[in-house]
Amino acid sequence: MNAVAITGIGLIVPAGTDLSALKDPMPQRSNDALQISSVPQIDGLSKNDARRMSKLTRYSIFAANNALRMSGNSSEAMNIYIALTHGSTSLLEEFHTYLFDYGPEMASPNTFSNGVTNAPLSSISSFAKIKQGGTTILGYENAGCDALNYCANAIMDKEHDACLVGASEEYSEIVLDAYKKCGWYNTLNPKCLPYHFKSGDHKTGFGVGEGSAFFTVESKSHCNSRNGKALCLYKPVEIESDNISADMIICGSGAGPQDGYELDILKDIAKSNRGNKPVLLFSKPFFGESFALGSMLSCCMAFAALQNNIIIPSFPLHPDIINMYTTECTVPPHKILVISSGRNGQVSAGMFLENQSFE
Amino acid sequence: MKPHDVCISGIGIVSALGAGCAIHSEALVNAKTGLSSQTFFTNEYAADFMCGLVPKTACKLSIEESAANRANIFCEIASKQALLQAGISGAGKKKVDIIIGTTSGNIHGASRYFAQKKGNQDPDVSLVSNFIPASIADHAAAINSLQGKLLTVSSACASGTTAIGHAFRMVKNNRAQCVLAGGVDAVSPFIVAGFNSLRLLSKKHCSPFDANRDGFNPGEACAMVVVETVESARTRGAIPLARICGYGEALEAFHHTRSNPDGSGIAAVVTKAIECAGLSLESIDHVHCHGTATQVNDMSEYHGLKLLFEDRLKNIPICSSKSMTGHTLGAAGAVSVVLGILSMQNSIVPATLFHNDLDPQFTDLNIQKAPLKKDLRHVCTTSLGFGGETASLLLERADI
Repeated sequence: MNAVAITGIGLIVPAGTDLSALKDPMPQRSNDALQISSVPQIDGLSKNDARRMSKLTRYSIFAANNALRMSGNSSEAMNIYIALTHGSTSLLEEFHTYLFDYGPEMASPNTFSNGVTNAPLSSISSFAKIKQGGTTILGYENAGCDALNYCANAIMDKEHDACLVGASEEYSEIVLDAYKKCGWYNTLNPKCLPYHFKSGDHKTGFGVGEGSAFFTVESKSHCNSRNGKALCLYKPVEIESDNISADMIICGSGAGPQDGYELDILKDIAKSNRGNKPVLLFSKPFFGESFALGSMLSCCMAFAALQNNIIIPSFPLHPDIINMYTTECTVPPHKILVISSGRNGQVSAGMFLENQSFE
Repeated sequence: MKPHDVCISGIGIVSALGAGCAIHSEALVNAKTGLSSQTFFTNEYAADFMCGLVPKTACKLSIEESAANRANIFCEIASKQALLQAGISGAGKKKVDIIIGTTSGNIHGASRYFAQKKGNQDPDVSLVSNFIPASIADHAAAINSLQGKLLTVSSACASGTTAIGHAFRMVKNNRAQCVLAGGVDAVSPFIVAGFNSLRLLSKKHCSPFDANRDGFNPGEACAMVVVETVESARTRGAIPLARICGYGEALEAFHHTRSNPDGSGIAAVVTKAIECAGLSLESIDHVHCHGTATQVNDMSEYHGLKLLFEDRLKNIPICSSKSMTGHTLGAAGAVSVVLGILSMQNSIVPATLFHNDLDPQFTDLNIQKAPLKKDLRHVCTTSLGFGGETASLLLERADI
C-alpha cells in the first residue's frame, strides 16, 4: 500500500497563524473573536494583487504558502484541492451592490473574477506555480475532510504523488444573516460549546468563524525519494465499514443541526473501539463554526495532538456517552480519528497516525 | 470492451436545444442552434443578449420563476434520463454516488436575496441554502433516491469534465461502483453581468475560431452520465454507450482569468488523457473543442492542438458546440461528452455553426461548417476554465 504522509501544514484562524492558535478554546463570548483582523503579508505577493483578492483568497494563499514552505516539496509535483462551503460571499454582495445601483455596465470585472468559486485555487496555482491539476470541492461541514480523503485515495491509487489540500471560509454578513434566520446562529453561544450534548437540545446554535488551513500530503515513497520529512501519516476511514481503533477522537460537532446523528455515530464508534476508552474532543469551540474549514481544522488539531503540542480540555458530555469516552488526555495519543458530518447527513472520517505506526 | 473497462451506460441532457438525447442527435445531424436573443435587466439598464436558454418545452419555468432552483430543475431532468437509460432502479440506487460539476449553480437565488435585502424586504433565507453549490447534489440524490456519496466540484468552465473525470478515476480505482456524474449551470442576470463586465459576451451568434469572433453567448444546461465498469453495466442488462479511456487535468498557473495563449494547458491535458488511455495521438478521430469564441480561449486551444498534432492537425476534424447551446459554463464539459457520444453513435462530426471565415492564424484547423459523415472510434473532448483550469476526456465507441 502506498502510505500517505503529511509533510507540511499552514493555517490562519482568528487566534493566530500556527498550531498554538488551536491550543485553547475561544476565550471570549464575542463574535469578534471569530474573525481575522488582518492577514500577514505574504512574501512574493504584491500589495496591489492582495488588495484585489477576496479575504477568502488571501487566507488561502497564506495558509497554502506556509504548508508548501514547511514541506520543502517542489510545487511542480503538487496537485491542489481546496474545500469551500460558501465561497467569497463578500465579493458576491459587493458585485450585486454595484449591479443594482448603477446597472451592468458599472459592475466590476475585478470583483466578478475574484469572486468566482475557483478564484482561491487558481490564485494559489498562479502564485505558487502549481500546474499538475486539482479542483475545488464544494460541500458542507465535512468538505475539508472529504478533500483530504480524496487526495489520500488519489495518492494510494497512484493518481497523484503529492497534493496541497486545504479548506477556507470567510465571514460575511450574508452567511451570518442566513444562519441567524435559520436559528442556527446563536449570539449566546459563539464559542460553539456542545452544550446540546448535555441538555439534549440539538439546536443551541453556533458562532461563525473564518480562515484557512492547508496540508501538503504525499506518498511516503515520494517523500523519502526527495529526503522529505513525514510528520505523520493519514488514512481515510469509512465509518460504517472500517474496524476503528483510536485512542483519541476529534469530533466536529458544533451545536448545529447534525448533532443528533453525530451523537449516534459517537456511540457506535465507542462500542466498536475494541473496548478502549478514547479521549473525546470537540473542535468547534476552538474556532467557531467554519463550515468546510471546520473539518480541516479538526484535522489540524489531530496533527497538533500527535506532535504532543496540544492541551486537551474537557467539555460536558451527553449522559449517553459520558461513560464511553474520556475528557482528559493522560498519555500522548498515537492514533487519532477525526469525524465530521455535513448537514446533508454525509459523514467523513480519517485517521492520523504517528509516522512509525503505519503497517 | 473488457469487463473492467470504465464505461458510460446512461446519458441525459437538457440544453437550449431541448431535453433528451433524441433532440440533441437531431440537432447534430441537422445543424440546429438553440441560441436566441433575450432581454436582461430592467428599466434603463435593459439590454438584449444572445444566449442559450433552456426552452419552456423542457423547463416549464422562466428564469425569473425558477430563480431559486433552476440548476436543480435541470439536474433533475438530466439525471432521470441518464438513470433510466442505465436501467438503475430499486436496490441498485443504494450504491450510486454523485459527482456534480458547477461554477455558480443556483446563484440567481443569491441575486434575489440581495435584491430583497436592498429593497428592505425580509429576505427569503431558503435562497441562501439553495445557492450553496453542494445543494444541487443533495437534490439529485433526494429526487432519485440515491444513497451513495455526494461530491461537488468546481473547476470553472472545466467543471463538467472534471466531474466525469473524477468519476472515471473512482470507478477505475475501485473506489466507487457506479457514479452519476455531470455538469450543470443556469443563466442568470449575475452571470450575464459578470461576463459582460469582462467584455467576453458577443451580442450576435458566437462563431468559434472565426476571424470575426467577438465572444461567447451564455448558455445553460445539465448533462449527466452514469459511469461504471462494463461488467457492472452488463450485470444489470444495461448496454455500454461508450468507454472512457483516459482523463487528464492541469492548471496553467498563468492568470486568474485568462488562458495561456501558448496552449500549454490544453497540450498537457490531452497528453495526460492519451497516456492514461495507453493510446497514441494517432487514434484520435475527432476533437470536440471547448471553442468559446473568445479571442484568447480559441487562440489557446488552437496552439494547444497544434503543439500536439503538429502537421496532422489539418486531418483531424474538430467542432465547437457552443454555437448550438451557448457556453454552458460548468455544464459545458459534460455537454461535450454527451454530444461526443451522440456523434459517435451517428457517425458524424458536428458542424460549428455561424463559422464563416477561419481566423488566418488557425490555418491548420479542420473545422466543419456543415455536419460531416465520418466513422468515429475515439473522440477527445477539451475544456478550458477561468484561471487556467484545463481538462480532457478520451472516449471510445462502445463496439470496439
